[in-house]
Amino acid sequence: MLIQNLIGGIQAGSLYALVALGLVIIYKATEVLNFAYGEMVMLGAYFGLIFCASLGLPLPLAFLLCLASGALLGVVLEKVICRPLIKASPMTMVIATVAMMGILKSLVRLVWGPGYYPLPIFSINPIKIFSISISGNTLYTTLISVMFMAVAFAFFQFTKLGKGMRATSENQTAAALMGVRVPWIFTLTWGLAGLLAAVTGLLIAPITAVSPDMGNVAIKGFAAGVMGGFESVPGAILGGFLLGVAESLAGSYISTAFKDVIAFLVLVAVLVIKPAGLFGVKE
Amino acid sequence: MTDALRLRSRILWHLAWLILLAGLLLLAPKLDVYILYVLTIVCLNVILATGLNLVTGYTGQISLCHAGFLGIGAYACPLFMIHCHLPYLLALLLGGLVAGLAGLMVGVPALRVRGLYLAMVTLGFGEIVFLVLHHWQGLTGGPLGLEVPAATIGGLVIEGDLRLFYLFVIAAVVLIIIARNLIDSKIGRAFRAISHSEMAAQASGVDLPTYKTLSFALSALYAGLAGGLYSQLLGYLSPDPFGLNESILYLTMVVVGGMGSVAGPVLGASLLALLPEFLRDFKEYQDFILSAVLLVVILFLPSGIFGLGRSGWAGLRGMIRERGLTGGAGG
Repeated sequence: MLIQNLIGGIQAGSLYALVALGLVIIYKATEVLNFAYGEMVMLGAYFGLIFCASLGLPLPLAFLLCLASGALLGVVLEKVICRPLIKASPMTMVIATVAMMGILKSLVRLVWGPGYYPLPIFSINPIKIFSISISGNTLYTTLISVMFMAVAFAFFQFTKLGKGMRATSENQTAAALMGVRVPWIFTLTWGLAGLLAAVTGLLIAPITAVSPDMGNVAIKGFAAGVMGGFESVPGAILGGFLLGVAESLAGSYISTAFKDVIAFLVLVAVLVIKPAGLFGVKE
Repeated sequence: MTDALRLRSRILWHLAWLILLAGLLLLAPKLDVYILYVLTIVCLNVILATGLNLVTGYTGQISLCHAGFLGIGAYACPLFMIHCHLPYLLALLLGGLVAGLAGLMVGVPALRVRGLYLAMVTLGFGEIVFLVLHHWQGLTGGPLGLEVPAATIGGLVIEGDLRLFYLFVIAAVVLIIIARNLIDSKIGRAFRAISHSEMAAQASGVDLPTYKTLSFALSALYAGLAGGLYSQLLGYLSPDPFGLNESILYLTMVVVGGMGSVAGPVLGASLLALLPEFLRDFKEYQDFILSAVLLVVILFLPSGIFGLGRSGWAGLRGMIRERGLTGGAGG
């Protein structure tokens, strides 16, 4: 029972971690708290709906097209909201992303309506290890999200472009002086985050079905990111897993009503006690 | 010369408000019930936006939980009436105070965090309020709802759209006047100093913890009072109108109208309450148009619609003054 709960928690946690990762890389590079990120995730699932269900493309091709569309969406959003407001106050920026959130959500509602669409893209049989059964869905979700996190981490750590991105988030002026093209890095970061959002949307879609309200997962991502201390990529990932497990345990051992509250209790508690997050460094 | 001009524009301004108000009050009995309802909603939004403007516009602190404060007031007021048998006005005030206390609770962590993290604290708090209203069924009735007892003020039962409308208008006017005077007082100056530069404010002797928490508490008090009024309008409470989307809507009102002015939020709140009525034929496009308006305002009118009007007015005044001066030099 406990192990089954832990596995459920890790599955949810891997998705939260993926959301938090996208939020954190945007925040680190451009200092934008992107409230439209959940809607980017939601659109990722709708891209899946277009390419897999409507056009009936083979899965690998559809998957790649979804990622490309997600990245393109990220780039467009950067051009529309981030670039013109680069010198605006953080509050203005937050409200701009909130407006974008409303626009994307209402557009999707206009095109597809408020209904739920199933998107069973990964269907494999459950696997049984000793007495614990793991559904194929859980396995896929967790593995793919961990893989993308690892790739993103390696990209930041080892490639020249990734190093440029980290340099930009440290100090924009210094990075520019070292020959990093800062505006290009901004665009690239949003593109990368858009790609991660599309992956997240595709992974959530088989679990919850595709609907305009899928974007609500972003709030959990915020909580996970804050737990890890919004400045740190490994922290955000760890925060995601911690939140997933905590929710799953609270849901089965305390009450299901408590499951939703815990994310926000943790969020407020962490910020009150240790504002820089559990793994963050105080400036 | 300029003082006289300023005085004259001020008198004109007050006169415009008075005429608008008198017109509303006199016309109200003749208005259609539905229009009256919409105007009541406008008053509610005006109270909320005026309160939110205290913390967001003047003190410069973001809040994503004002629908939560509204909810606390909306539930506390009828609960005081049901369980403590208090008269409506007293319950309304107490409900406002409970919300104000909640604002104080949010204000304390706001001392340690700013910007992004403040947005997160307030978002988290708003969601907690929403979930508590949903799940504490013993007290709030949860999604099943809570029936609000009818209010009586001095023997007069507040029922029917007209009496409700008058109650809302009086409350809105009183609260706007209080906010206006507050802003010109020492407290208001401290708020503005904090939003310009926390460090400079502190150096000038503004006690940061006191004034930051005070601005959150006052702002939440306004929202709580609005909630107590709202409960009468709704008649039957469910947690739905007190979520994150509503908090965002109230913030939108302040930003679209123009932060840091008395008239801005009034304008923004009226506009955003009336806009859906004008867009009734395009119901499915409503959300889209509202969000698009918000984005356009943010991108092109950073000081809001009222800010645009004000800069236009200032430009006009400057032109008049210039003409006057050259005219004087010629003579």
